[in-house]
Amino acid sequence: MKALTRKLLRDLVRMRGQALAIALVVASGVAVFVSTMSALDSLTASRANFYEHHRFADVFAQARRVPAAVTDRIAEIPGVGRVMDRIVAEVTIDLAGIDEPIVGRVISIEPGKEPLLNVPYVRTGRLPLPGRDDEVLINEAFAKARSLSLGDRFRVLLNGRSKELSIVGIALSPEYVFQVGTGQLMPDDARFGVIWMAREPLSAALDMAGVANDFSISLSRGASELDVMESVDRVLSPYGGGGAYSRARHPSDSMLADELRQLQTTATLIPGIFLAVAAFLLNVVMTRTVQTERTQIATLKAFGYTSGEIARHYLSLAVLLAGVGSLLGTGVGAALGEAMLRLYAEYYKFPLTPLTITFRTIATGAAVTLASAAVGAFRAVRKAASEAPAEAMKPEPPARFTKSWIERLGVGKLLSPSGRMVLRNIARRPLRAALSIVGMSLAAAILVVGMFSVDAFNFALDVQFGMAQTEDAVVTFTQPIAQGAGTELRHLPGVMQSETFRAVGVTLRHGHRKWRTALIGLPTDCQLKRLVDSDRNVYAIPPSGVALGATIAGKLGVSRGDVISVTPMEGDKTTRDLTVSLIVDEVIGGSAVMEIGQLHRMLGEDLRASGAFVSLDPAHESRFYNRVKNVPAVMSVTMRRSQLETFDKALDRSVGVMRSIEIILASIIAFAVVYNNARIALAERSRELASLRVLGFSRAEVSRILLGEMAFATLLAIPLGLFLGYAMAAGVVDAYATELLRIPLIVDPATYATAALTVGISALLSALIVRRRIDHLDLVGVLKTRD
Amino acid sequence: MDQPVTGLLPSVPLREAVFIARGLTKAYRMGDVSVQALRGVDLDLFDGEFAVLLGPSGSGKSTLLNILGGLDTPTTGKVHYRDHDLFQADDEALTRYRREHVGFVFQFYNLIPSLTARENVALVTDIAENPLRPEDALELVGLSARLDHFPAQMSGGEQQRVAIARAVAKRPDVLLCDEPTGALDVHTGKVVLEVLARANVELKTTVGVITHNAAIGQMGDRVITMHDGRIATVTHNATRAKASDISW
Ligand SMILES: Nc1ncnc2c1ncn2[C@@H]1O[C@H](COP(=O)(O)OP(=O)(O)OP(=O)(O)O)[C@@H](O)[C@H]1O
Ligand SMILES: [Mg+2]
Repeated sequence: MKALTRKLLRDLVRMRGQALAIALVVASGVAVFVSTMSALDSLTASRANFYEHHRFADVFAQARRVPAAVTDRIAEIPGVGRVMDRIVAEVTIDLAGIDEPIVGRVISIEPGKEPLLNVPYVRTGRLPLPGRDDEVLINEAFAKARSLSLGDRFRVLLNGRSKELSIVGIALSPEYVFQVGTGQLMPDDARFGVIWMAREPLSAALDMAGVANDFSISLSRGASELDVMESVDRVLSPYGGGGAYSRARHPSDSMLADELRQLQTTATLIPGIFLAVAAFLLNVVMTRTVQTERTQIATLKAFGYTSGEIARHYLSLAVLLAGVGSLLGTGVGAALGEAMLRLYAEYYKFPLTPLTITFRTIATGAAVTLASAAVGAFRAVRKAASEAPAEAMKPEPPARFTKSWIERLGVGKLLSPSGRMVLRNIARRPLRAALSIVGMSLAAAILVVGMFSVDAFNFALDVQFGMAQTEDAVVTFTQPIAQGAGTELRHLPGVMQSETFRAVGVTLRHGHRKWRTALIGLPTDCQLKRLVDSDRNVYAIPPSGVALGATIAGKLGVSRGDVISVTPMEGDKTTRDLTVSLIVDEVIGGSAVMEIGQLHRMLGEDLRASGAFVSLDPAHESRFYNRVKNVPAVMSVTMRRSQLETFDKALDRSVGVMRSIEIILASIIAFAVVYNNARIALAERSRELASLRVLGFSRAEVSRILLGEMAFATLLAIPLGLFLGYAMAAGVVDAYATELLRIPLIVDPATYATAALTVGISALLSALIVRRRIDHLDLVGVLKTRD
Repeated sequence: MDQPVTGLLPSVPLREAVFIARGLTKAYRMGDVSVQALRGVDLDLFDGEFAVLLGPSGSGKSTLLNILGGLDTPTTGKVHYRDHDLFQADDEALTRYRREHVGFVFQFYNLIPSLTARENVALVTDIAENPLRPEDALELVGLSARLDHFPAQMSGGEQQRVAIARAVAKRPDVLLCDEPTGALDVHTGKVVLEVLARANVELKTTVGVITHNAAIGQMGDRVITMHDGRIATVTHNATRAKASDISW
């Protein structure tokens, strides 16, 4: 082995503490990258596979009663590949022994025939057979959540009549990778069931023989999605249709896309932060190494080592650290990826392909790591290469000290001699002091970013379910009924308060931008559903015009006072202009709300209700549920409690695993940075400290000088880091925002405290290590050799 | 130092000049003040000669040696080593020159602390054409027992001997030593000087030695004294003393 290589390895062993810290930071970044990227690759491949093999449609449309002949007309639209018409109906599922009503969706299939599109993937059992009217297929998630198995029977309320069904198969479906029921914001396996049932008994029960209300369309190659959707709207418009939408707006697929997009963000953002920190650490360590080895470098050059050889020597140090970290990270990342995928298997309802760690992922991870190492080491390596060989002949000149400006202010007199030394040291190398402060504050910042999302999520739930949505249940009617009838709900057992609302699907337009959503009509004095912004301000429903959530306003590019055009999808479908009279920066959901009387007038209808918000007496909740699920006009009942539960579950999922990993990783960074700082300070000063010891300073006195500097830097770094963390959290909020959910920028004091404490404890531990090292300083050894 | 005291070895007849320096000046700028380290040095060093450089502290000896060794360039003047123009040479050419021709012994040893004695020598033999084995080089300076010691585990004199072994091991054409015996007792000092003399005689290495010890001048073919940045005197020795025969 070459002597220079040996030097490299010895140097590595000597700085093993720091080397390990840097390698760990690199490894953390690479592990997150490799695991998330691989999981993402697997999920993307699984999605593509599943969609293709189970023929997920491209365009979807609903209408009221559409004769069979119309399906043929849709098939003739240019660009349409296949069309499948179905009957889809919302039902209430009644499971034996369970009080609460469960939202269900019944989908017609032709028994004995494989559907043209959206083919269910039968996991166990079989499809219903012709002539067996009570046989159904149900979705796997619901079956699991409710422990239903083949042969079990349950009841549904179909068009006001209770019907008993028998489970013959359990399936997955590309339409329900995420199964979000009507009125639900999040997938809720236990409270939303999908039921595939033979078309004939279903149409008989719903009185829909020869008609359909749901269309799935696949596009032929090269077709324009937009053109097809417009043509479909034209064809279906006489039948109460007109809201064709693409996969992008399909509840399941758009949610899946959001999830994958967030995963992508995680896969780049988090490793990015880690690698930046690693580059920073490398920079500090390398700069310091080159600085202390100046005469060694000059000596090597004097013997004829070229600048290139010297540069390579120091660069390999950086590359070795990065390489080891990268290797370690890839290994851990593979294991972590497996774990993540197992977690996702619970969550994503489609068959997952095994974890695919592609060469590209590994190569990208390694390349980015090495590049950041090179960037981090660049300055130091360049300095090493340009060191003049004549330096080898000279002893290192003594550092130049002056009285710092702080001392000149007269503060110095107040300080002890060691206090003055602390001050002068910081003043002599202000850049170095600043760098260590920045490093430590980055650590604090990363901790804040790692933890704040929990605060934000809790805040969002608090505002949404504590203020905006205070009802206990939302009851949706099968179709709009007279408002008077809606108020009848008040007489059901357990109901303390009931407020009806009107909801209608609309297309909002502003300039060339459009957005489809539900426009909700509420009374101005509505108590159970209110408009609340992220500062907890409650807004009254404006007496005229429309109130929009900030996300919708953003999509449409409108501000308060602008006029938008509104086209309802039912009633008289004429387009009208509405003034945006209020924009609310909501926490969850994109609301479009107006005063209910105005909405009736706009739709040209009498007082009608689409549903009602009710508050319940907890003592009589189950009696209410038992009654309401048998009311024919009621299509679904959504409970606030169950929504909260699903949110909590979603939070647990992301917090439970990812968050704690992130916090562990952030703590690694915090410790690595702080520890590195301390070690470097110690190495730089060991000669000076040893000299002081020889002059008769005690260990405690000598330690105080170094630890004083560390304490000073730590005290400055913590507040700076908390501020930086807040700023970074703002960036994360933007990166993770989805259509429905925008994490508010909320950081709890406890989060700040934890971040500060973690950095503080890291500093303390490092100080202890340094202290121990000072105590064991080999006075003779340090003074005998030049660095 | 006018007359050689004892002479046993015949002085090397003057051969071709390998180093030719004319009008060398070197000024160090330090902020506003400039320190004139060399003030016009004319000097030839001849192939295979053993030259001893004497002079008071600060007179410019190290500066001159640095320039001859290609570690530094003069401010003005001309300096050549054979066909190498050391004044015009760029960094790369100087590096090649040092690598191929020069061995150094530094005033402050400059061992790499993380390498053992053997490895410090290997550092140089790794990049040399036809080097000695590091073990043999260390044996020359009487350090066979210290092969695997780190610099911090050796005395100052031992470190200096490693430095000399390191310089000799590459069998350089030119050996430039800045106070190679400064930290040594009489006995080991002689061992070291003996090594330099052997390299000079057996390998025909041109040797330049800086010293404060006038007695060492007896070993050289010529004794050059410097004063205040200039060459003050140049003395030829008719015969060269053996290292073992001089005393101080
Ligand atoms: N890098 C430098 N910057 C400024 N002045 C320098 C530098 N190197 C040398 N000098 C000055 O140049 C002069 C000559 O220095 P040099 O090192 O050549 O002396 P020397 O003869 O080797 O002395 P010594 O016997 O003490 O080693 C001295 O006055 C010294 O202070
Ligand atoms: Mg000198």
